[in-house]
Amino acid sequence: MHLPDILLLILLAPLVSAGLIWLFGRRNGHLAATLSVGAAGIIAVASLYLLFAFWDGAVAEDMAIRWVTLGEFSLSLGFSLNMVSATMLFVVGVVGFLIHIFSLGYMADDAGKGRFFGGLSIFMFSMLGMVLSDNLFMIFVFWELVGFSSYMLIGHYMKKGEAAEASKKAFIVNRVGDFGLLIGFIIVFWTFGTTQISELAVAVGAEPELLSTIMGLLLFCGVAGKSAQLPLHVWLPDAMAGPTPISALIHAATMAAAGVFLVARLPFLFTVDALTIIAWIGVITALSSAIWAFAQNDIKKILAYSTLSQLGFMVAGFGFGSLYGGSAAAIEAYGAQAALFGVGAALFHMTTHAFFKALLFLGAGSVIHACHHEQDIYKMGGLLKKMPITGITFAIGVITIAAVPFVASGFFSKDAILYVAKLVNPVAFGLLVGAALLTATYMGRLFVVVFLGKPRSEAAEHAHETSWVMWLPLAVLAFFSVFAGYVKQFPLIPATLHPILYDAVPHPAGSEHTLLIIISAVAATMGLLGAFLFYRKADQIDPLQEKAYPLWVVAKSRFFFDEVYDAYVAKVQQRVAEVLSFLDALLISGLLVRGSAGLVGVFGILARTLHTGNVHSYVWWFFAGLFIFSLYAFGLLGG
Amino acid sequence: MQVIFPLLIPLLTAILGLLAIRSSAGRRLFFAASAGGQLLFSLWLLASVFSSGSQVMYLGGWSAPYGIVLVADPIAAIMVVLVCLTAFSCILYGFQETSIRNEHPLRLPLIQFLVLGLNLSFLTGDLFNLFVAFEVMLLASYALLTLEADDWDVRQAFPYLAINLFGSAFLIALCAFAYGLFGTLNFAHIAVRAQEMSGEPLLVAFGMLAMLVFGIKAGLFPLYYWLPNAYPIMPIALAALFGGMLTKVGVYVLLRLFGTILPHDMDLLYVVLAWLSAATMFFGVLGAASRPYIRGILSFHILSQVGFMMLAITFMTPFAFAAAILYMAHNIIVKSGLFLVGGAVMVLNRTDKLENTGNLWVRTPVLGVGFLLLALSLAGIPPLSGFWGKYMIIVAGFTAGEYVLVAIAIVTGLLTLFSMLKIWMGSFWQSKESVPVVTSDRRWIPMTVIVGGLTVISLIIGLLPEFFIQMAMTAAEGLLDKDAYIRLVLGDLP
Repeated sequence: MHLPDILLLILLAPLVSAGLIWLFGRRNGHLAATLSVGAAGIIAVASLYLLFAFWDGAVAEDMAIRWVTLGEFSLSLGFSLNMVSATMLFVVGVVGFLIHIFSLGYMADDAGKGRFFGGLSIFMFSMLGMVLSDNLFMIFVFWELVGFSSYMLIGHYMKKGEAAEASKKAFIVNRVGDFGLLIGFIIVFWTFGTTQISELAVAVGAEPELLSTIMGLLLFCGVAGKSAQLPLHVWLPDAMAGPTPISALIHAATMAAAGVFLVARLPFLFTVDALTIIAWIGVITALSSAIWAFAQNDIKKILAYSTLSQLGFMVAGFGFGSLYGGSAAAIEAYGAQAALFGVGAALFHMTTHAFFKALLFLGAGSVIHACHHEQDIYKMGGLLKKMPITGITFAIGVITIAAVPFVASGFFSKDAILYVAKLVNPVAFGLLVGAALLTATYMGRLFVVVFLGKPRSEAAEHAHETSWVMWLPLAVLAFFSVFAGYVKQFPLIPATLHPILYDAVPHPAGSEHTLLIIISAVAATMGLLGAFLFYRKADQIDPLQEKAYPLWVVAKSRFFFDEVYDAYVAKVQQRVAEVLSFLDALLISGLLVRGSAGLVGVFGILARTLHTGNVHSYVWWFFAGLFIFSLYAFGLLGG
Repeated sequence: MQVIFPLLIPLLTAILGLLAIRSSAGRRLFFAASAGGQLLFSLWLLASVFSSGSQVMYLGGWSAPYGIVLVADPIAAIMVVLVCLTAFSCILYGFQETSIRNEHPLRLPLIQFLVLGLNLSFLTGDLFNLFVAFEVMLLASYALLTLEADDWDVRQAFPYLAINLFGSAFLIALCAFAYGLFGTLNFAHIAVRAQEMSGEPLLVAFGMLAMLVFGIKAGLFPLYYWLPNAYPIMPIALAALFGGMLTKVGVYVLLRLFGTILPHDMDLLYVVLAWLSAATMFFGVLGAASRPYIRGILSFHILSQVGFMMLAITFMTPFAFAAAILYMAHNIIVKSGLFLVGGAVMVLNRTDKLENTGNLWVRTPVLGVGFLLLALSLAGIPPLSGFWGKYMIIVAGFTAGEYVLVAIAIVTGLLTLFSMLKIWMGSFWQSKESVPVVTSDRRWIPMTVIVGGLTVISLIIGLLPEFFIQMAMTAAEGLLDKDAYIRLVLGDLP
């Protein structure tokens, strides 16, 4: 086996599966599920074999085939495996496989099973293709494919109008982001003359003055679209209309993290100004979505806003980590390693987030499945007793996302982000700590309302634990969620990834360290405890709505982003369209079509009156013509 | 000698078919065989133009600029191949769509006249024969448009006829203007004279008038209104042929006009055309997004994509011209293919209204893949055929520093993707219990095969772009090299 062979196997398995499902499994849901899960299994085994036993951690990318050469422009297709793509491969392989297993149970009775698993395989192919691409061109191709498969899977429950609207919204918002991304890629190619990422890094290193802030911000447009950063975040909560495994895999663990992956793959393309703006967008997203989560009653929407918030943390981590890593102090203290701080912080949190967020989403899926597709948390309650495995694993997920020190992987990764934020900008640090506190609180709320107390509906009353295909993935993910933070000690994290997930992650030391642990611990405990006390006795109506209505309204408003966009569409775009269609009706149908028809008609009438068939009148016309001609000939007319 | 075949064969086929063949089955066989033969001839012409240089033919031995001259340079040869390819597939497709009993006996001969007109307009070396070609083409198209139509259709077709009559009137006026201005109608000769007059306002007026005339043909904003109403009424096979080829004649003539005939310093014209093109592509795609049925969406897209090609022309570099040519070739194939998919949907779902179509992905997956590849290609998703042309147009725009125009082009591309996926979701991906899929109507199978053939061609262009881009570059350089064209046609005359 050579490295390219394994990568090819990883990439081809889902493609072949999608092809076979297309040929044979469209109406045979069982076969489709087997094929799709089989492909996911091959991906998981091959990537784990690759990362644990085969790859030595050296960048491998001499596998390019020259495709097109046109004068100065040349394009190669190739794979590349470096630390960043290997981390993503690990996450997609492991989490993807577990979610496939879970889907077997969750989608068992779905009529569109063939479509669902076919879409899942296409998604895996596109995602892995993007992860392993070695140039911007291929990244863009797979980036679009990922968006396309996400669009199809959000719209899975087509009969629900909500799902159709949501897929449309996701598609359009992502196009806005991709518009920027495409221009950004073109400008990068324009400036540095290559799309090959390794060559690009060399070219930027040679002439860093060619970089511009606008270039980085254009690239970030694409990131903001896929990873749902403000102001392009509006599609992700709506995308929860898709099946829950899709929400877990695509809209939490992998595709939504693709934006973070992209910046981590191209960290050298961002100037200091661009990084500062990006970091602040991350901070604002993290904080605002944490606020919005409080007014949501749909279990999946709460998780969706928490995904937004955690993605904001990653983006902020990338921004502040890179800013700090680029500073003179950091280079003096840590040497060349410092340059990777942003990438390390973002990717570490992305990895832990993939585990605990997949866990939370699948747990939510398990609950929804048990409650007959009820998603309102105020119609649940008391589920811990009825579904103990789901309840306990969900609790582990809550503890992890709340970042309780030492027992949660989320603690370690959030810690790194808070640390770099503190070093660069104390205000940002304060806001992020606030976001962390809110995270613990709203996740506590979710757990208390859903799993504690008494059942508030018939469905919750009769809920019972789901089958093992659904709880087994939860257990495995819970295990990862707790221990993945101990990168070096936890044997299930490949040693080849230590340089990026441990060495490149900025760790505080000494008194700084103690201080951060205390802050984290206080935030997590206060949040969880506060939520328990406040929501413990909740019944049908949200306590926040009852007791602090103004605060609830603020959270419920979601700062009017959707309203502003809707108003733009209704007031501006719709008006422009109306004016256009009015002009269309008046000028084009009215004047031009009817006018031209009328004109032709008038000519017709004139011609008809002349052609009377009466020789007598023709003779008169003949003489009239002769008369006018002779006037002209004798110079009496015209010149 | 080869130059005359693309004109002679359709003409003889049409006449022989009209006079000599009585049985409908025999007629079909004869016309299909002829169309296939024409495609082979056109490929042969293309090969010999690229291997041994452009060909000129002086009809009746009268030398240019006095006699009639036919010129097959790379661009003309490429266009002729595209005509023959689309005509061939549309004729075969038409056999499936219209049953042999319902086929009007004039349909096939008229298509041959249409092909004759198209080929003549690409091969002619003078303005007057261009007018003749347009008239042949338009007469045939009027007849085809109304051949199998009812009253309502005829009313819809009326604006098409009216606007094209005005167009023809302007074109003959343009011929007169050209003769008055240059004392000749031969392209090469006009090119010589125009170069001497470079900078004169009358020349700009001539250019403007020409832009108006050919803008109408190409469907340029704001003269496009006739198109999206006329095409959907035709049988799909004809709509595909019209949609693929007819507007592209206007684009071709503008390439020829700006590249070969007029001096290269008409900046005012370029600016006006660039913004009109931008408006065309943008309003075209908006129109498409608002249509609820497949043929309507596709008809509006024709406009939008004509805008792209025109925009590329205005950048006036060999690279931009090559981009326009490549994009045009891709578009002719893909657009015809998409119309044909629309026809298959109409056979399977008995309608092409998106709300009443569906289930096709499950029932006819091959058609689904064909549609998806063509649609994504139309939207310019790499690495399909549409990407390369679009990418080159965008790069040409960047080089020219026209950032606003490039931005409009990219937004248009994204909206194109949106309306294509609307069809995808509406007709293929969605499952709707109430929508029947009539797979027992076996016509969809040969239809899918024809769509498949066009998809494969589009895929080949996309996956092996180098060869085709080189070809487009050669054609573009040929178009922009006035002196070579003048020497080719006029010899060593002044």
